[in-house]
Parts: sequence; structure tokens; C-alpha cells
Amino acid sequence: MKIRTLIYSACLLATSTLYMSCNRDFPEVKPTDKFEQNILLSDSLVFEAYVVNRYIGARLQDKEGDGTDPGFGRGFEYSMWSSITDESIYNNDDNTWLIQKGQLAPENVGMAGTIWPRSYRSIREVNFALNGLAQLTISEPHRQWLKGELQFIRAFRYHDLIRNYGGVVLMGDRVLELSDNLQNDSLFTRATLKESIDYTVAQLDQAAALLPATNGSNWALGRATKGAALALKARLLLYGASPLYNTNTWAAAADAAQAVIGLNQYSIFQGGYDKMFPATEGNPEIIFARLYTRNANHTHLEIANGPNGYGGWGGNLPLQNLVDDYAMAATGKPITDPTSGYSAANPYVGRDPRFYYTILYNGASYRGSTVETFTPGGKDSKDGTDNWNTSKTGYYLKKFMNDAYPLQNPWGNAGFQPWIYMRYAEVLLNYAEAANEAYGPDVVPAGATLSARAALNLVRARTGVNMPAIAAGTSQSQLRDAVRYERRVELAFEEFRFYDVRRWMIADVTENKPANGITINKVGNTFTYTTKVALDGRSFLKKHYWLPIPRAEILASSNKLKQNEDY
Amino acid sequence: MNPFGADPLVPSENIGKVSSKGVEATLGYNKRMGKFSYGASGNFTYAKSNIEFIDEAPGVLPYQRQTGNPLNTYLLYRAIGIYRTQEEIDKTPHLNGAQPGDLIYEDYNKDGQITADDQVRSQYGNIPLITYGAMLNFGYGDFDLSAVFAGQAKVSQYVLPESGTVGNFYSSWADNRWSPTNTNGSYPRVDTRASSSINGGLYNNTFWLDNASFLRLKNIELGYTLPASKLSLLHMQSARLYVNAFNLFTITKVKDYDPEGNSGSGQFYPQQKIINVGVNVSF
Repeated sequence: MKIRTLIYSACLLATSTLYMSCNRDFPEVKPTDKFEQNILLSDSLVFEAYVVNRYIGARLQDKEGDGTDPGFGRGFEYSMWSSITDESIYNNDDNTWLIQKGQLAPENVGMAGTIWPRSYRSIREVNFALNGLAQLTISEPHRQWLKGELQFIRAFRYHDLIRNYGGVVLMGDRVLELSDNLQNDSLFTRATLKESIDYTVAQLDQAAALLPATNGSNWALGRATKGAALALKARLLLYGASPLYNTNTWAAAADAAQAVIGLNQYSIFQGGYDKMFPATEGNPEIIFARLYTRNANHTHLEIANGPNGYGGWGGNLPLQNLVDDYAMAATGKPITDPTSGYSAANPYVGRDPRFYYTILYNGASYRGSTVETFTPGGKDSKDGTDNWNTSKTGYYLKKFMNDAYPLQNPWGNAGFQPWIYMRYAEVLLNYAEAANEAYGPDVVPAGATLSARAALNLVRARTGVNMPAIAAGTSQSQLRDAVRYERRVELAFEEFRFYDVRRWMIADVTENKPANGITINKVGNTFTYTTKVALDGRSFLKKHYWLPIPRAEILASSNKLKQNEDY
Repeated sequence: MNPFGADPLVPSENIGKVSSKGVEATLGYNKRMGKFSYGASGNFTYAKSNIEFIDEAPGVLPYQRQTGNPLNTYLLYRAIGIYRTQEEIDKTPHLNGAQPGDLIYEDYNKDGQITADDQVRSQYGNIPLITYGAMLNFGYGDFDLSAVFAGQAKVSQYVLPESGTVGNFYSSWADNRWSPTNTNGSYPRVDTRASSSINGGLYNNTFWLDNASFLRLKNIELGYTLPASKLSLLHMQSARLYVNAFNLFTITKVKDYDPEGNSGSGQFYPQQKIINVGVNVSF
């Protein structure tokens, strides 16, 4: 009897102890798929991996982060940033049409809704690492590189915020926790546009001073270098000098671009315009890019954008608006000029070579056959196979495509092209634009080696492009037009147009034009070309010069965060 | 900002608070008078949920809050008609790109433009406040008849079919759509895709919110049991002839879909109408 009681009591004790210990440990389960903060800050390898992962952001929407999580901007997603400009439309909408149709609103931000939240999330993650850097056991020179790298990533996020929203909330080095006062007014006070740019430029100056000049065995390709920081600074100051911003001088922008040119480290890739985009290593033009590899790929571009007759899905469809802007190769003149040599009966003959590298048109050779967008009967028209994928514009995207990758059934064997964030041609064009505005076309400013016109001609003279040089005697306003042409054509589909038409304040013209395509009718061996509207209702309002801050962010701030005007 | 389709930054917490109040009643009656018998029973539930706490952003407008409202209500623009002419558009606050055939949205906060602040929370969600049912049975001699009715009231369901160039239109929309040749159409003009149209997915609105109340005859059965005298003649132990039907009819204002469905895009399989004729025999 006594023994039995004892056993019972022991059991009871055991049970209750178990119960209590269970209960105590319950909230302290250690996740096996994540590192704890103290490991992150005590192991330099884990820490560095954390830093490198900050080049990538969180996936926040459906229809993005295809393959791997998004980097900066939009990059190679199914619907590209080009499809909310006058470069292309996206065949299957994916939240791009509402932007093309001028219905962008705080509650309807569509594809453009992720920049604000993703950037601020990344800025917090960077700040966490910056604050922990001091306690990390690591060689001092490498610590400085990491510091510069983190400042660069954070500055890139701010640059994305600034060029989309204008003045932003500057967070400094703060890392907020749930226990902090999340209604603190300072979290929702937007700095002016000038303050925002000044802060980011200062950060980039610091980053440039810390970062290594080149990539190498200790600093893998794809990580930011001094040149990347300087090139981003040059871009931001070019924006800052532009009419929409008007926060700094053109001279400052020219100086910043000259700082990259003066490195004598980068040059125009001479292996052909089309070969540049797939070439990663040893490409002297790339300043900063995101690299992809097997199992860490982006969208399979060839099938996603290919013509329906090839088994492609016709994703981002170049607009007639862009096609019409390619000049004639022989004369360098726009097709609207009667002396350009353009023939409306043969519209795809004799154009700027970059047209042929960028756009698939009726009659283009592609992957062993000819693109046929004509009707009746064209295999890449609505009369072809899988005609729900056929182009609404009569064109398909060619730029970035790598013919070595399979188009059909490409899964796992395509999607490795680098997304180039910054390349030397952009720097030269930034310089040409800024120097032309500050000094005129033919002045070589003190400390520089190129005039605006010379810089522009370097881009036009690329082997395989060889467009006629802009002649001496060109006026400042003519060179301005030439720079705008060059950016339109050279940088097409690389996420420049959206920002260029805004900062030049020509968006109310360019973005209010109908989204046009072409209907090609074949009778015998003769084609007739008729312009058509490919997407109805294209529209742009003054308020669309800046994106609306998503409504959820405004509400979370108790309406303290100031929305952009007129939204 | 939480990632799409992955774990949130902060672990989910069960911090919502909902109270439900209501009444429930059942009443039944059975009576037999010689060869004739009958019975009836009915049930009735009125239950109103009230969200006492949900983690809403502090800046949410009072008339858009979920807090203080029943579960599953909708936040919608109020559609108050269809634009017939350009003059009508010009004289009312309208969305950029509005054209004849588009829905007219009410400028609820009277600020002269249609913005997210004009969305209003719906009175009812898709959880009915009232559900009820009735069971009836009659017997006369060897005949029996039973019926089950079920219904719901004070309930709304939002259904915007994913229509467009892909097809997939409800016929009531296709037949009654506004078009340049049918300017009196009772439905808005059709668009490339309903989900990205200003009459649909971009501005979810009350036009697509239906009163999902219904009364449905879920089941009715008429049977005849063969009397024992005839059974022995046929060497059977029992035999019954019957005809029954499921979902024979529904009284509802919902035209195009099953009011018992609860998918906002109308993508659900409707309840089938089934009629059986049968014999149950045992030897």
C-alpha cells in the first residue's frame, strides 16, 4: 500500500515535472531552418552570406520572383518594367494594363506596388548588418568592404525609392523592433527630394571610398565595386539635374559620370550588341549586374517571350511606338524625315542595327526559321498554333534572348542571362546628357577627356551598331534630341524609359499616345502594313509622374505618411 | 512587409476576437388520424457575429473597418448605375478612362473624385445571419410524402466571373451588356478581362454583390409501400415504389449561379438537380 502510494506520487511528480518543463520550453523551440542572431553576428562566414543575400529582396506579389526572389527593380520577370512604358505591353496583363491605362491609384498599384515595401524591408535588413558589423571578428580591410557593400545596397534601395516616389523617409541606421513605438512620427516624415538625393549620394561617396575597385577571388563577380557606387551616384545626380527633379546642377551630374569614365576601367563591348547581354565574365561594359545560374535562374525568357509559332507565349510585346523610333542606319535620320531613306512599303529595311537585335518582326530570321506575323496564314499570327499566345502588337521581343538555350521545354536549362543594372554605355549617355546641358555639345570640361558629343558617338560606334557619328556643328538642342534617341534605342527594355520620360517631363506626351501595333496583310508576295491599337485606353495623368505610395502603407501610418500629390 | 506565399516575418498569433449572438429554435408536430398522418418540423437560427478585435491598420476609415461588423463582409465601391452618355460622365466624379457603358461609382465621401475612400463595407457578409429549414411529411394508407426545405437570409455573395476575351460570360451579362448598339443594357460593357476592368476587379463594387438569400426544396419523396396481402402473392417480404428529387426548385434573386456557392469568381460546382425513380424490393 505504502509502496504503491509512493509509486503513484513519483509518477505524478514525474508527469508534472515533464509537464512543467514542456510548458517552459514551448515558446523556445529553436527553428532548424534559420540562424539565430547571435550566430549571425559571431560567425563571419554566415554574416557575409547574409550580406550577399541583401542583393535580393522579398517576394511580395504574385507574378514576381519567378525562379528566384527579386533583386532591385523588376528585372527578368514575366512582365517586365518595359511593359508599363511605351516600349511594350504585356500580352497577359499581369497587373500592367491598369498602369498603361492611367488607372494607377494607391489601392491599385498593380505591378509597381512592391518597390516601397520591398525597399524598406531591405533597408532594415541592411541596417541590422551595419549595426552588427563592429562586433564581428573579421579582418579590418574586409570589414570595410562589407561596410561599403551594405551602404551601396541601401543606397540602391533609396535610389529605387527616390526615382519612383520622390522624397522618401530616411531611416538612418535604425533597426525597429516590434517593441518600438511604430507610430513614431519620424517613421512617416518624408524628406524633400533634395535631402533624399543628397543623403543617398553621400552614402555612395562613402561606399565608393570603401569598396574594392574590381571583383576577384575575395570579392566575387556580382558584388558591388567602387565603379558601381560611382555609376549609381552618376545616375542619381543625372536624375537630380533633370526638369522633374531640379535638385542639383548638370555640372554635378557630368562630374559624377566623369568619375566613372576616369577610372579607365570600363569600355564599350565590341563583340556585337546582341552578344553583350548574355556575356558575363570578361565583359568590360558591365559595371553592376545580377548573375543567375542553374537552380538560381530567372524567367525562361525564350519561351516566355517567344512567338506562338515557335511554342512561345508572346510575353512582352514591343510597340509600334518604339519600332517607329528606330532611325535609318545609312543616314541616321528618323523615318519621319523624307530624306531618311525610309520606305513605308519596306519598313524593316535599313533601320538602326539595334532594331534587329531588339525586336522580332515579320520576316526576321529567328532560331532556324522566319517570323511570320502576317495574316492570313502566318505561323506567328492569330492564324498560327496556340493563337491565344499571339502578339497583340505584331512584334516579339528579341533583346536578351539566348539562342543557345532551348525555347521549348526549357525548364531548368534557361534563364541564366545576367540582368545588367548598370553598364558603361549608360554612363557615357549620362555624361553626354549632363555635359551637353552644362557646357554644350563640344566642350571638354576641365578634368574630363570627352565632349558630350564624343561620349555619345562612342556608344553609336559600337562594332555591329556603327551608326553615323553625330556631326560637329550640332546644336545643344539637337544633341539633346540625339541623347534621347540614343537612350531610347540603346537602353530599350533595360528599365530606363519609364524614368527617362518622367524626368524629362515628356511622359504626358509619350505615355498618352495609343499603344500601337501593326496589322500585316499578305496578298501574293506583297505585304500591306496598317497601324492598329494594340491596347485600348492608354492614358497618363500629371499625378503619374510619381508612383502612389500603396494605400496599406498610408493606413499603417495612421495617415501620417504623406501621399504623392493628386492621388 | 510579409513575403508573398511564405511565412510572415512575425509568427501568426491568434489575437482576433469575435463574438456571436443569436437564437435557435426548433418546433415540431406530428399527428395521426386513422389512415392519415402528418408531421411538420421547422428550425430557425439567427446568429450575428461581431468582430470585436482584428489587427487592422490604425488609419483605416471608420466606415471601412472590419471591427464592429460581422465576419466576411465586403469592402466595395457603390455602383449606382451605368453611364449612358459622355455628358453624364463629365458631370459626375469618375475614374480616369471612364466611358459610356461603365459603372457609375458613388462619391461616398463627396470629395469630387473616386478614390479608395469611397469604398464602403457591406451590411452582410457571405455567412448568413438567418438559416432555416422545414421538414414536412404526410402519410395516407400505403402512400407517404416527405419534403425538406432549407434556406438562408440576410446574406450577400460577391461573384465576378472571370470573363473577357477568354469568354466565360454568364449569359445574363452577355445578353444584357451595354454596347454601342444596346445603350440601355443593364450590365456594364464587357472588357478584355473582368478581373482587370474598372467595372470589375480593379474596383470591386456592389454591382457584383448579390443578395444570396434562398429557399430551396432540398429533397422531396413520394413513396408507395405494397400492402402485405399483395406481397405474399409475389413472394416478397417488402416492396416500395418511390420517386424522389433533390434540389427540385430554388426561390432566389440570384440569377446566374448557385446561391450556396461561395467563390468570388463564381468558380464552384453547382448543386445538381437529381430525380430518381426506384423500387426497393426484398425477398
